[in-house]
Amino acid sequence: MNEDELDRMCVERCLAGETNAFEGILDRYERPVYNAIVRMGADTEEARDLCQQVFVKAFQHLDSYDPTRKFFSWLYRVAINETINAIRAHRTWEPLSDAMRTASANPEEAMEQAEQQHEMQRALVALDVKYRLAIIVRHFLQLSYDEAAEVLSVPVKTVKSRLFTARQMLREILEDGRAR
Amino acid sequence: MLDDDELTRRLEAMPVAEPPAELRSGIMAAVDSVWVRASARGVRAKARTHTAARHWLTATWAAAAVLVLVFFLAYPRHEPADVAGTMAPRWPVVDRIANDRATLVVTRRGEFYALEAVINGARPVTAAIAWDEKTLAPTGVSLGFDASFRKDQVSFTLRNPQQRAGVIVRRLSRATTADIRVSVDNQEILRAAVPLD
Repeated sequence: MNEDELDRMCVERCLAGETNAFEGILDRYERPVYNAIVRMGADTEEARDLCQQVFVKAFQHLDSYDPTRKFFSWLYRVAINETINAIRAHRTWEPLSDAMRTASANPEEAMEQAEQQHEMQRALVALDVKYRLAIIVRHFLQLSYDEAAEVLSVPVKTVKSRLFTARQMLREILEDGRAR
Repeated sequence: MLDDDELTRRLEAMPVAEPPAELRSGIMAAVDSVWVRASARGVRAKARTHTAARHWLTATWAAAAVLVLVFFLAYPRHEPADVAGTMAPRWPVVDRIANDRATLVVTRRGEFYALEAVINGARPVTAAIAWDEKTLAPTGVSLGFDASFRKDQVSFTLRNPQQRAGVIVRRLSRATTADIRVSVDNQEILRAAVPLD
């Protein structure tokens, strides 16, 4: 049974009243959704609350999911809409805290790696939301252009052009940061 | 200037942020609280996909509608005295406070509490449940479509008598009671110190 079939089965079971089947959805999507929210710029606490809000909303609207489509596209669309609403409603998110950084065995390498990651997150958060989303769906959710277009509700060529612009802007921001 | 490959390498080197351990239990607690609504929708969703089932359900609904109509015509309408428990999560009741304008039912599972307010009177109405943000934090809304969140309050537009304002909150501090306020159109109508232990 592939992931799509597993997803549909979980949805069917949830709709039939078997709430615990939602654990199957969480097994596959809790991590990528949380990570995408964090990469959008939320801090740990905001990401936790927002991630919960996304899954509860998805659960409440499971009957609007069209089983002929891929479940993850639908779920990621819910996540993106909720995240955009949160950004608009509340705040400018700040770059991640140090707790999110990884460590390497070599301290110098670890420091450089952490610095690069911090700069990258800062650059990501500096992007306009639509460009940030293009990067997130392609690089962090690892969707194809077609899937990204479906999730973002835009044509494939728009995804490609946003991605091109986003990468260009990221380069400029990172270069500016290094020059300072 | 960074080349394309280097940029991709840096993006892919970004660590995956791990969700906190309590996230899943919070989601499942909130999901439990919307079970009544989801299961009712489930019947409709399944009906869309199976023609035979849809016809059977249509006939059943029609028969049920006729029976309900006959019942309401034959008997005078009165509200049940205790409707609050029917939509609240099926968790143990911690407290139930009522006055002539509202009933607040508090249920608990672990560190999560469901606060549900049944508001008496006309609809539509804007109802709010508020708490001390140092004691509790909102983690989910059981009736979330017309709801808006703040750290210390959730407000709802209730459009018919069957809708109630419900919210799941997580305990933040070691406080033994939480001050919960229910208001309608910005006027407090019920206040209670709810035990947390």
